[in-house]
Amino acid sequence: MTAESLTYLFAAYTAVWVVLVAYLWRLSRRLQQLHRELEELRSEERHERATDTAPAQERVARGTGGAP
Amino acid sequence: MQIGPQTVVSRSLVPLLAVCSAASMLLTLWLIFVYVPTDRVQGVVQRIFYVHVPLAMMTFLAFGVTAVASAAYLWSRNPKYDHCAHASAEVGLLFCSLVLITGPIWAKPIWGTWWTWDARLTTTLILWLIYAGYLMLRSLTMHSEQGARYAAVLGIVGALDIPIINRSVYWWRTIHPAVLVTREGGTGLTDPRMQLTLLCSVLAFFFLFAWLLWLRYRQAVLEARMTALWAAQRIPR
Repeated sequence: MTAESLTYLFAAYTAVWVVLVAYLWRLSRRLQQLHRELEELRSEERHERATDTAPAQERVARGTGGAP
Repeated sequence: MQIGPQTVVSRSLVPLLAVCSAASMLLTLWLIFVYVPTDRVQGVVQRIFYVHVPLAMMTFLAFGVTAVASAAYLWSRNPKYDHCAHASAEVGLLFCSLVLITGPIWAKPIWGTWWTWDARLTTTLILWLIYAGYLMLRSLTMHSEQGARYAAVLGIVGALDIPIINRSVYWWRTIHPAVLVTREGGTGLTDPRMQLTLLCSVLAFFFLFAWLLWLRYRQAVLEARMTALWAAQRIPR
């Protein structure tokens, strides 16, 4: 068993694990980012719904809403 | 929000695959560095086989999945098959890159050169180039149906290289060792401990492949959903 052979063995396993861990890290970061974007969209949608329904509720409360 | 049976399976599958993958990898590493005997001819460098061979097998499986999912997409036009093909091609290219990295690291001390234009090496490089092209095509034609169709055709055609790689050691004069079988002048793994280690390693890399594929598939599905939602809201990204 020469030191040179061990160097090759170490290089091969290091390369495999570094590449795999880097890919997993990239995947998990992208997934987290997508979940954040999804939450952002949901909150925007909730906000839009709330602003759309607020004037109608006001009109109903004042008794001026409804069909002409 | 209602949680359907599909969501429950999806949520429990990811940690299950992660645990299976980590546990089998730890066992495999113990087998490779403690249990398995050192090869009398090649020495410790032969231990590179225990990652190189399973990575090559998972590369073939990944590109095989890409081909089948691409065919299913062309048949049904269901985008989930397209996402599956895309995800599998990316994971396959990752594994194929690792095959092309670990192979030369083994070859240098054994053959005395990092690379030779041997039939198996060359056909494997061609496979890598085909699926690198596949991913480039996907990135250039993002979220377009036409791009998905072209990529599906490339995904199927590219997989035709897999049987050629597999048979290359029999069809042409090659110096690449046949690890799984003992052919005339070959270097098959004859020691049962070596065979057990290789089997465990294949299983570990299979779990890793399944885990990465599932994560990448979920990412592709989420990306498509997000693009549709942004388009519906007409909000510039």
